[in-house]
Amino acid sequence: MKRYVKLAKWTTLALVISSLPTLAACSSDKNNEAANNNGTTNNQTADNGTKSTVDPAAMWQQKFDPPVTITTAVVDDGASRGNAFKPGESMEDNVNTRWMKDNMGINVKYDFIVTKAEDYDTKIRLLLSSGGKLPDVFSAPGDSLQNLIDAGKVMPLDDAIEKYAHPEFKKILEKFDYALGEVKRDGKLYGLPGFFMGDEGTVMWIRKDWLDKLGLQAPKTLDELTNVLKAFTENDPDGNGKADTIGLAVPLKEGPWTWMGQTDAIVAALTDQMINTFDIKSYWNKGADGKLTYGAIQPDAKKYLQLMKDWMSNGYIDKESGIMDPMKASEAAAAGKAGVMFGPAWMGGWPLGDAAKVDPKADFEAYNLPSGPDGKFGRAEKGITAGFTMFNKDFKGIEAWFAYFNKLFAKNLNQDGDPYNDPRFKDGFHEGYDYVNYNGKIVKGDYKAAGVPEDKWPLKDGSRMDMRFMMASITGGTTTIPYSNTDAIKKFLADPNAEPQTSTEFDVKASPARTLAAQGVRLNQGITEGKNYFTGPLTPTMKSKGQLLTKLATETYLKIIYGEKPMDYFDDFVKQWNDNGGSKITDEVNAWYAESNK
Amino acid sequence: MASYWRKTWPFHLLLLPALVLVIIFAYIPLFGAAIAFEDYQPWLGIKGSPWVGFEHFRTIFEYPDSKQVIINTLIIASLKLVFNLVIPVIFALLLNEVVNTYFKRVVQTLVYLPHFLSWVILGGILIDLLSTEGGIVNRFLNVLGMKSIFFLGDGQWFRFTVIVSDIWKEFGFSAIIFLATLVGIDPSLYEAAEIDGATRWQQVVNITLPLILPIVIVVATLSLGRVLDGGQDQILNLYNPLVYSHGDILDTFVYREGLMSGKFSFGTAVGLFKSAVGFIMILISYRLAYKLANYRIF
Repeated sequence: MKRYVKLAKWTTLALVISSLPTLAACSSDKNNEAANNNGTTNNQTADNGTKSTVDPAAMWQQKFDPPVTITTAVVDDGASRGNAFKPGESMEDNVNTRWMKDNMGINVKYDFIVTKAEDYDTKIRLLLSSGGKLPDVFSAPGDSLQNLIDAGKVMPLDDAIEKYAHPEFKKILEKFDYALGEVKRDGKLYGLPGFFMGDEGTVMWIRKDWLDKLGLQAPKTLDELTNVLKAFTENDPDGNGKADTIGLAVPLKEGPWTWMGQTDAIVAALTDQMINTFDIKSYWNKGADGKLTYGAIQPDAKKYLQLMKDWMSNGYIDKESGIMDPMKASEAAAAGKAGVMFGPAWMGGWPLGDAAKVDPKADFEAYNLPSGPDGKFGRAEKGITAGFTMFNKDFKGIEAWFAYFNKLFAKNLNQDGDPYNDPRFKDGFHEGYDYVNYNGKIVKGDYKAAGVPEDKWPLKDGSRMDMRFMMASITGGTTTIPYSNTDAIKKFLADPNAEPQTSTEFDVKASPARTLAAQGVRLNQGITEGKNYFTGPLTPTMKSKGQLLTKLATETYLKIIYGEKPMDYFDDFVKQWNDNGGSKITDEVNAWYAESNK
Repeated sequence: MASYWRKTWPFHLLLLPALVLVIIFAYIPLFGAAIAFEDYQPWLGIKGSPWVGFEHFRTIFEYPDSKQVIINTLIIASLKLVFNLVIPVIFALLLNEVVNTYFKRVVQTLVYLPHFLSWVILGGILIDLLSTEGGIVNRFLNVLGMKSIFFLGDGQWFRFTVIVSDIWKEFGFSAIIFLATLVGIDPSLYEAAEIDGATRWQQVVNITLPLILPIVIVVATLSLGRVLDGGQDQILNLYNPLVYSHGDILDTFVYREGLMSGKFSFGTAVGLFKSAVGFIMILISYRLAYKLANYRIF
C-alpha cells in the first residue's frame, strides 16, 4: 500500500510538471527537417513563418517573450510531500517558478490545488460536466480520461510532439507506443504518458536458511520447485517440531496475477500465454495468427490450474490463499510460515525483510525464475505508464511547455552534447536547494558529514529537500525512462562502492543491498517479459460485461484450484465466458488492435 | 391561530435548520435519480444524456448473476432482520432480570462496544479469529475434537458467519432501546402481579412482553425498509471469490458493476429498485402494525 501512496504522489507531481509552456525553438527544428529531406519541401507551407531566436545547437536557451502563462492543477495536501519547500515558499511561488519566469518566460498558475486525489477527480469531472474551463495542462484521472477525449476537450498532441519534443522522448514514445492505447483515438495521441521504471518484474524469493537447513539446492525447474515446496511443508524447516510451515505464500483472492506474490512466473514456465483474471483489460496475448486472445480462457491455463491444484491439495499452498490479498499472503511469509514467494525486487526489504524480526536467521534471497517442462521461463511485464498528462484544446503555449519538459528530460537523460541539456542545471537544479557548493565541492545531502556550515544547509534541520514537487510544477509526469536504471544496477552490482554520477545512479545506489541483488537476478536471467497487447479504453462490451466475466474467471480458477470443480469444468467456463459477452469483447479488442496498428 | 404562532414560533425556528438540511441533502439529490433512466455520460450531464427508459431495470433481471444475487440478498437480509430483532429482545429481558446494577452496566457496555468499530477493522479481526490455521475459534473446535471449519471460504458457513458476526456486532446496541422501554414500565404492575401470586415467568409473559410489543413492532417496521440491505460494508470486507455464489448481495454487486466499471446509471437503477422495494415493505408493515398492535405514528 505504501508503494501506491508513493506512486500516487509521483503521478501527481508528474502531472503538475507537465503543464509548462515550451519555448520558441520549434520553427528552427522544422527548417532543419526540411533541409534534411529536401525532396519534399512542400510541407514547409505549414510553417507559420516565425523565426526562432534560438540556436538549434543550444535549445536550452529558449526564452519566451512575451511570457507565456500556463495554468495547471495539482493534488497537494501539504503534509505528504515532506521537505519540498523552504519556509515561505509554496507550490505557486518558489525558487523554481521564479527561475522559470526569469529564465524561460514561463509563468505557472494553479487553477486549483486540492488536498485529496478524490477531490481532484471530482473537480475535473465537474469542470467536464459543467463546461467549465479546464487547466491548460493537467493529469486526467483514469475515469475521466475517456470522457475528456470523447467530449473533445483535449488537444491531439501529434503535431506538437513532432515539432517540439526532445528527439529522444519521441523515440521513447515510439518504442513504448503499445502502452499508450488508452490516450489514442483515431490514430491521434491525446495524452503524454508518465512512465514507470518497469523494474518491478517478478523474481522468486526463497528462504535460503531453510534451503541450507534441509540441504536443498535452489530450484531451477518447476519440478525442483515442487520438491522444495514439499520439503518446506513436510520437513519442518524452522525446526520447531511442529507441522506449521507451508511452501508457497500466494494471494489468490484476486486471481493469479496481482502486484505482489503473483504467479505469472509459473504461468510463463508452462505456456507462452500470460494469464490474468483480475481485470478484463489484461492479459491479451498475441496468438499464432496475429490475433489477440484472452489469456485466462486459453487451454494452456489448465496446466497452470493442475499444478496449483496439486500444490493446494498437498498443502504446499496455504488453504486460505483464496481469501488472502497480497498483504495478507506476505504476512505469512514474513511471519516465518512460508518459504517461497514470488514478487518484485523490492520485496526483499519490505515485507519479506520483516521475517528477520521473527527469526534472526531468516534470509529471503532472490533467485532465477524456474523453467517448465519445455524449458520455458518468463514473467509478465508490469504496466509501464503512470497516468497521462493532457492539454486543454485551447491551450496556445504548448511550445513553452515542451521547452521546460525537454529541459528536465534532458537532465534525466544526461547525454553529452544534447542541445536541450541546460548547463545551468549541471550540478543540480538550484543551488542552496538540492545541492550546496561548498569550497568547490558539490554536496547533495549529508551536509553535516561533508562539513558544510549550518547556515548553508538548504533546510534548518539539515535534511535533504525533495525537489520533485517543485520541479514538477507543470510537467505532471515524471521524466522516467522505462528500464533506464539497468546500467546503473549493473554498475553498482559490479562495484557497490562506485560513485554515482546521475540522478538515476543516485537512486539505485540508495536502494538496499538485497534489492540491488534482486534487481541483478531480474536482469541477468535474460527474460523477455510478456506484454499485454490490449491497452485501449474499455470497449463497450467490456463496460457492460467486464465485471461479470472477471468475477466468473476468478471464481472458476479458485474453484478448480480448490478441487471444488473438476478440471473439465474449465471447458464449461470457456463456453460461459464466450457466451456471456467474451467473444464479443474478443472481436472488439481485435478490431481495436487492427485499428491501432494500421 | 395568531396566538398559536406567537407562542410557538421559537420552536418552528428551531425546526428550520433541520428542514433546510433535509431539503438540500435528501430531496434535491432525488432529481439525480433521473440518471437511472438515462445512459448517463458525465460530460453531457443529466440534461444532455440520452434517455433509455427502463433499460437498466430490465438489465437487473436479465443479468446472469442477478437471480443468485437477489436470492442471496433476501436470505442474508431477512435472517439478519429476524435475529437482529429477536436476540436483542431476549438479551434485554435477561439483562433486565439482573439485580446487581454494577454487573448490569459492565455487561451492557461490553456488548455494545463492537457497534462502534467499523467493518474494515472487524473484518481484519474476524479473518484472523476464524483462520483455519491457528485462529482461536478453530483451535477451540479442535480442542473439542472437531475439525477446523473454513468459515470464510465455504459458501454455507460464509452466510452463517456473516449473520452471526453481524448479530454479535449489533445486538448490544439494538438492545438499548428495549432496555429503555423496560425501565419505563410501571413497577406497580409487577407489584400487583406479585400480590396476585404471579411467578417471575408469568410476569414476563403477561406484563413485560405485551408492554414492549409496540416498540418491537416499530423497530421491525423501520428495519423492513432496509430489507434489501445485506450489509455492504461487512460483506465487502469478508467475501472472496470462493463464496461469491453464496455471499454476493445487491450492494456488493452494485459496487463492482456500478463503481468499478463506471456504470453510474446501472448502479443508480439498482439503488432505486432497492428503495422502491423498501418503501413498499414499510407501507405494508406499517399497515400491519396499525392492525395488529394498534400502533401508528400519524
